[in-house]
Amino acid sequence: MKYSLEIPPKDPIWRLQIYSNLADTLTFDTIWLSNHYYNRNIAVAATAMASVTKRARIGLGIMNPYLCHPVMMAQMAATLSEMAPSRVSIGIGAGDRNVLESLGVVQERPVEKVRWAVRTIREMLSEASRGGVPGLDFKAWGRIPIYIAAQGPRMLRLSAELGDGILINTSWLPNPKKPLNILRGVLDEVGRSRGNFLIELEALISVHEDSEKARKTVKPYVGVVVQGLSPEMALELGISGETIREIGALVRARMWLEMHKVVPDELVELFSIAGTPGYVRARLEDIAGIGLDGLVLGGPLGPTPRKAMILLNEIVREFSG
Amino acid sequence: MDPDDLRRRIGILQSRGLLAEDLLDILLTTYNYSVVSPEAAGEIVGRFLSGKLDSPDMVYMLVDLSLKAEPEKTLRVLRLHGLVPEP
Repeated sequence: MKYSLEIPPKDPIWRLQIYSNLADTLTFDTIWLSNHYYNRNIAVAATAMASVTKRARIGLGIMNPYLCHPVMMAQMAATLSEMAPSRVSIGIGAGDRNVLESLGVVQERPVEKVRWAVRTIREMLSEASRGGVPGLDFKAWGRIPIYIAAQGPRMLRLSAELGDGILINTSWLPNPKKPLNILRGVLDEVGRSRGNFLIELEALISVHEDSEKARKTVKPYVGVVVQGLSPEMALELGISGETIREIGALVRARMWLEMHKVVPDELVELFSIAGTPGYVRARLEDIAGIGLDGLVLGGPLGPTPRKAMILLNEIVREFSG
Repeated sequence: MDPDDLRRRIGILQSRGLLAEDLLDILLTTYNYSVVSPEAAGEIVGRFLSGKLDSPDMVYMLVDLSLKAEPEKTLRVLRLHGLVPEP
């Protein structure tokens, strides 16, 4: 079981460098970026992070083919590998429908679009692409695995058919065994070995001695997850359309501080692991036991991310030996 | 706060390493992030990477930036380390 971190580039580059250097000196496997048009550009952020790390992988994610053409994703990853050889991963998904709509982009045929994007990236990165067909004029340093970020059953299926791995959306946190069972079924069906496919779950984390502080810090992140829920999942979890619309309007307006007032504690409980070190440890240990290959500790990590990273490193080392 | 006196007291402070971490956390989490210019940011990252964030001149710089970004939080931290008297 490997543990990775997500460091969203919502902070200035210098902070990302401090966090990623610290993550590199701890035992986290991959430092995943998150990708939102209103935050810092991930290619620039990843370059800065690669310059201060030696061991940890850098995850370029989660990019979507509606805002970034897959040839650019392949080019970005291959270029980054020159600074971080054998340390680059790509995360690709269909993007957030509501956010795309706010930019005037229609999220048409998301599963087919992601399938096309993954194939295009593979072609661009492959040896065979040289000579007459579109491809890069240079070779990436080391293999670049492609993770598919998935929430719905069709995207879960695609990931098991085509991805090197999956990042299961944090919206599955209330029931993480369900996507795992779907994936196992698809792997059997397509005759794919479980060993060639990495199943990782992203979980929003916020840890602090003061549980209330931890929960407050994670609320804007929970809001982003809630407004991106599929109607089916929202229905299954009993979340009203009104709540989703209210939170969605705040996300589109990027009114993050308002989220503290609007996102109820029940949703924090459902979609994040936020609380004291003891509570976070118990929840993480439970999830670690269900058969995942990895867990991506995402979101704010805590009111003081630097301290939270050190604490989380101790927590996961304690129970993973 | 007399700047010269503060510099002198930082120079002899036993808990200077912890103070540097506390001040760094203030700068890492403040919403007033524009207080840290790109030049200052480069200096902080360079010292962090070389393990010299706790040198007296760097800590003084961190105090200066933190006071601009979060005056109340910074004063609390300085009090905690005995650098300013209790109110």
